[in-house]
Amino acid sequence: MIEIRVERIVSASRSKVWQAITTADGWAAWFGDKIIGDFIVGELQTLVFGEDTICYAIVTEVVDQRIFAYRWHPGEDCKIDKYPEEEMTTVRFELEDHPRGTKITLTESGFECVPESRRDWCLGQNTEGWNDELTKLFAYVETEVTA
Amino acid sequence: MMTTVPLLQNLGMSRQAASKHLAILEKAGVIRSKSVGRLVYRELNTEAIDQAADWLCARTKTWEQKLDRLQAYLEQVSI
Repeated sequence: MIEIRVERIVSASRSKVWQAITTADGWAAWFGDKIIGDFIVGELQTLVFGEDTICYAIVTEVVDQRIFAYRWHPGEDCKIDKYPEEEMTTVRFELEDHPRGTKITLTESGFECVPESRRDWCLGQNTEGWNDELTKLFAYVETEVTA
Repeated sequence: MMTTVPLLQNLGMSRQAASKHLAILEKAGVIRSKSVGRLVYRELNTEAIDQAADWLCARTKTWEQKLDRLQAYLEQVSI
């Protein structure tokens, strides 16, 4: 599985971090402008960025003060059912106590399932997007894993 | 660039298994093949791997920026 992982240690208690990632006010303060929906498993959430960018996410895992995860079409301005469910990626926040506060481990996985036709999606101005070689490489990795 | 025989010596697998792996790698664009007479030379296409790494780095950077904002937010609020 192709996965992105970012770890960060923040000087804040686990409950404080939990509030930041699982409440509408907290989430809006650092991620997007607004989030509509409950932070419970199975719930469809609406993420609003700026005036006209709207993404959707389905909450998949909630373990109090430890794990929050959702699936989405990665950062894309589209309805949740625009593409097949299996083409979603999973974003997962895991919190652990740390001597300096709280360790946040963020992972986003499932990129091997996103087809070539959507390769430009979520990177915006950050990059020119991925290219054919990447899609082929993903296909290769997938083949190797299942062979 | 090398032919299949030294590749096999390095990998320690059968010729059939190596051929299968090489075909997958070539289809994915990770290696290129060039025939010279009866010999087939293979070389690594590092561009394909670099492109994949670049893309994943860009996506990672997006998340790092988000977590920077989360960190700044946590430092400014008091609970």
